[in-house]
Amino acid sequence: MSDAQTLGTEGGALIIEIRGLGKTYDMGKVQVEALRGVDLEVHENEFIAIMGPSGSGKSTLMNLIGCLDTPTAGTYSLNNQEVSNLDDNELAAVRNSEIGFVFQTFNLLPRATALHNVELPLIYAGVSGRERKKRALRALEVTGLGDRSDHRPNELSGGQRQRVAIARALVNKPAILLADEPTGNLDSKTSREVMELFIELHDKGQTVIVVTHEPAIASYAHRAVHFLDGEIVRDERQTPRRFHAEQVPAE
Amino acid sequence: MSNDHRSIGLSEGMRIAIDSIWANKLRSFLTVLGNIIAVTSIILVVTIIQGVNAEVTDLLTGEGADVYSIERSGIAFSHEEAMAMRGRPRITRDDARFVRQEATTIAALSVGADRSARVEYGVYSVDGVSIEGRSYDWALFDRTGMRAGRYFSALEVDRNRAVAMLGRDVLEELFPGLSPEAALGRRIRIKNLHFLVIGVLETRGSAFGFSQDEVAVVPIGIWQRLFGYRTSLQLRVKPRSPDMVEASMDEARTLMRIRHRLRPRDEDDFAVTGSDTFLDLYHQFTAGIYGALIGIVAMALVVGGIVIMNIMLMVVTERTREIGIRKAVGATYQQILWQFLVEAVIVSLVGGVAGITLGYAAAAAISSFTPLPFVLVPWSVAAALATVMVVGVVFGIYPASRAAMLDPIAALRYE
Repeated sequence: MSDAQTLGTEGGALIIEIRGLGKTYDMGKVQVEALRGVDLEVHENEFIAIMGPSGSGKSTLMNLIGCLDTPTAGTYSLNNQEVSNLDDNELAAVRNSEIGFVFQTFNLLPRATALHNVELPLIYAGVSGRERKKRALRALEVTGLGDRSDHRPNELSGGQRQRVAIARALVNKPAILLADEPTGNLDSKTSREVMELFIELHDKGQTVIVVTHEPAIASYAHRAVHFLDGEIVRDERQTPRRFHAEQVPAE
Repeated sequence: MSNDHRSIGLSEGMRIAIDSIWANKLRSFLTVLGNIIAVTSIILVVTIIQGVNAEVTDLLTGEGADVYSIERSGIAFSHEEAMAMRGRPRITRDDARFVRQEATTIAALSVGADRSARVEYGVYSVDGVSIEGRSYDWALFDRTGMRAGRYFSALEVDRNRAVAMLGRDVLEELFPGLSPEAALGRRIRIKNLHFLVIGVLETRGSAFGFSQDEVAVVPIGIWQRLFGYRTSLQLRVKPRSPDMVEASMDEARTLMRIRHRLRPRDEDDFAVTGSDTFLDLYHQFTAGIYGALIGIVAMALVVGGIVIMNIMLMVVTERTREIGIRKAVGATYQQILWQFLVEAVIVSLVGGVAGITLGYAAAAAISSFTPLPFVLVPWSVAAALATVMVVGVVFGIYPASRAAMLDPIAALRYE
């Protein structure tokens, strides 16, 4: 990642280039068109909120951006690599090196320590031994959990668990941090802390995409992309809200 | 990245497997029960058979593996054969002298006959002592040696002197509290005939729980006077060198045929058997047991393998979400496959190791309660471990491929 000179502008390198992206689910007799010809460009160090009601196609887009799924139409180029026609193993490699997922339900391995959870992407990247541990510890320190590395998820609070998940997402230095309702399971105070962490990461140059249906969460982003019925209905820059004590998002 | 998915699967798989076995101890135990039973029976049966083998080989080749015998009857495999053998002429001391004199390949030839009888000394008596009539050459075959005193002399055998060498059990029962040396020169009674004790045999030990020391060895001539001349004798023959066994057996057979005036077309009316004959027979018998063992073990392993497969399928379902997480952070099909395969193999191996431990414990217990020796057979451990590894792979591959094929989106959503 380069420096944060181009913060919030379109001046950075093109990270995501999506053209006419479509996804149709074949449910036997019924065909469900979840995405209909979506065009989207994301530049380096953008902070984007993808918004829309459930069923609007925002989750489908997230799965496609996250390389968990392949589109049925259109093209998707991630970091100048065309990924819409990769096979499962190639997609796994892209997920490993380019995408950092943060989920609503944290999705940590329950019996593994925070450290081992963060090490997971490095394990599959083939990073071994001390190097792996060092990098995982550093990622935990970035998210403020350096002193909790030997705790298991059930010994951590919700906010701490999400910080472990964010550390895991960051550990392999991904091109994009992809968060799906990252505060959906957190109280308002913890939500704010997590969003502050996102801002902090963004300030350091990280490209962040947050999928959410909460306007309060979306208001942290520099750009909001609104979905409805599988299409983008609005794509606008916005002045990100900076957090103040009295601006705790309503829950 | 795909070139090192094996090592990744191995270390992660081992970590997960051990974690999982530890977290579900009872389930893990039930999972590997089939393997435990199979491996325990492999180890137990192999150990017992090897123990018996050692005993039998020792017994059959006690006088040396090159020693063979000439008898009236060989090994009969049917009642008819046995009856036919009984009609043959008995083997006499004259036969023995003829073979001994004419043969060029024979180093020693001992004549023998056994019968059990009561032995008495004063108020003491022992029943069921094996009275062994032997010729002078017997001393050349005796490997255990003398505890006290001496062997009989050629003269004593030729002159049919009433002298006896006693086994340890007989000594202890006839002369309670007496040392072997003190028994020498005393006169014992067998069938009202008095025998001078000239020697005490070294302890022979027991075979299959039967003592081999309840014996009294006497010259063959006096034995025949005691028990009659109608008993067919057994000739024990030692060739000049171990590599002459075949040639010597052929020569002895030819000489016996001449002696019995058999024509070329006549069948032998005697049997020449080497220790190999009995060993072969015994090995056929143990091969049968091994065959049965393989059947039992195969069944236990198939059952054990199916249990492992079922549990692994359950584990895959239980861990659907975990698999989704792993895939989301970049685990490939092969990495997940290896991870679960390694887990199945480790679970299987744990059962194998438990079975080996249990099998040896049982074998050790058996050998401490029976006369069987405890023989540690390294190849049985290797075979058991290899087998359970194969079971782990064969029955683990299907659940592992199910795990590896999971769709990450659906897996992440799985509750």
